[in-house]
Amino acid sequence: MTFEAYLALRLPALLRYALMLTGDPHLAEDVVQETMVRAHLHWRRVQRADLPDRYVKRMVTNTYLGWRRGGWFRRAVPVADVPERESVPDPAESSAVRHELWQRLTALPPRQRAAVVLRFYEDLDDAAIADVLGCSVSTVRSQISRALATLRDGAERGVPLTHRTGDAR
Amino acid sequence: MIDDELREMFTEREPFAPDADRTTGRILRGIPVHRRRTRQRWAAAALAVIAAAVAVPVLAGGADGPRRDALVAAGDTHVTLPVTPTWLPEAVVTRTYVDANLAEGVWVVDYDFGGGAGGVLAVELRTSTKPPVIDPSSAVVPPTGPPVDVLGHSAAEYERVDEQQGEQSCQLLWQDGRLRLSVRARAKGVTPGVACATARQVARGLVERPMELDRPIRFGLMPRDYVLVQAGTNIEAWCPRTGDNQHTPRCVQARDAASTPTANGRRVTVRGQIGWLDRTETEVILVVPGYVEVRTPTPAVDPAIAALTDDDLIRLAESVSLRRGW
Repeated sequence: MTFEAYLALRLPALLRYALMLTGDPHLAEDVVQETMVRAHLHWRRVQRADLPDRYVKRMVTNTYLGWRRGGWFRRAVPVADVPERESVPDPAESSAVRHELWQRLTALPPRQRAAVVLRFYEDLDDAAIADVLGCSVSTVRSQISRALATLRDGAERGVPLTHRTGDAR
Repeated sequence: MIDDELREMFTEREPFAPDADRTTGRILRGIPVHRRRTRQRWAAAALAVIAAAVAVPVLAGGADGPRRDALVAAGDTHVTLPVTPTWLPEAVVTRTYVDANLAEGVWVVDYDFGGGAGGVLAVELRTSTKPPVIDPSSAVVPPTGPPVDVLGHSAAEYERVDEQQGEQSCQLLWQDGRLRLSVRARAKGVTPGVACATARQVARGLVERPMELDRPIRFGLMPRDYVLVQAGTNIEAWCPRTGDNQHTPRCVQARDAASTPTANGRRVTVRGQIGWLDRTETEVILVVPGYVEVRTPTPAVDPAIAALTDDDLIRLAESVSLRRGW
């Protein structure tokens, strides 16, 4: 499959995955853009992979995990026209519980968040998640277990959210 | 069940994914830029190879001479921000984040208030001695308000409001001689305009006095002739003098691995702790969970460049000192 054909076929799914990872549509777009530009450079290697889609997903995940704070401002160029952006989701459209859950998910450490997204959004099993995250299956289990405990614990105790700072530092 | 809630929550968020057509456009515009940069990087690496090939026999004194990459004490480089703030929001600074990229001429100091400064979350000071790289694939943002006066300089103001998170951020950007300055403030749960008012006050309180920045993570050893290119709260990178940034082959980078649970690779011992050393196609990574992660890119062009042995990396990792709790 050519790079262009892959983009046409898989880009929407990658953007959705990146949105769940980052929690921010603008950052999701930046992460996918940077990943796919690099993927183009190594496209033959991507094609040779046993599971090219998973290979790209691993690249997206690594880009997200390595994303440094302030990246958006560093990359934004303060000139010229404003590109059209989607409207920001209205929290009122979500149920209060799920909105709260989304915010708690945003506060998780990046690796735990990635593991949760791969399990509950991408529906991958432990081995596949370990392959994407580049760690052992037992690590995946412990990451998900800790993440769910944090999410449950926060929900039960009604602990206010703390702002997520520097977890990509 | 939280599993079901998570699945429903993800499904609910799907419609807010970025537009694929626009992203495709950004990707296709970014490819030639990336290709050009990669070519320049490889050209620099090739020059470095040639220079090394010429220099090694001379410096090493022949095959029996000392190894060129023998480790020596890392120099005690002082990292300073060119300006000092005289005003910050009245609150306890819960964390100070530093990122000085000496190779790129960019210094960043970020004061985190944890929301304790009347809703102000953080203030970031950034100075740069080099003009910004204009990447045509980047997002383009015009100022969101009229120019703001900062000590006689005209500053552009960029305000961004995230209604979903109830967060506002405001950045002021101006040029003072060859120095490009930026002040950014982030606030949450406050009336509109607080972030910009804070950024303006911080900007107007800056004075031209160097401020020494903290280096909570630092290497104690380095290969000879390496220079510090990046110092930060949880990262430090050193490169050969010919290297332009930490992605150049042979550069060495250390990160705090406080929350890294485990890693792939061969088991090694670092300061009595278990570590994992992994040589991949593109880099060598030594992870000591709970302590430090040391990595260096591996050049594909010439294995002779990868002069750092496993023992060198272990010694480098052992030399790293960490001071947490910033």
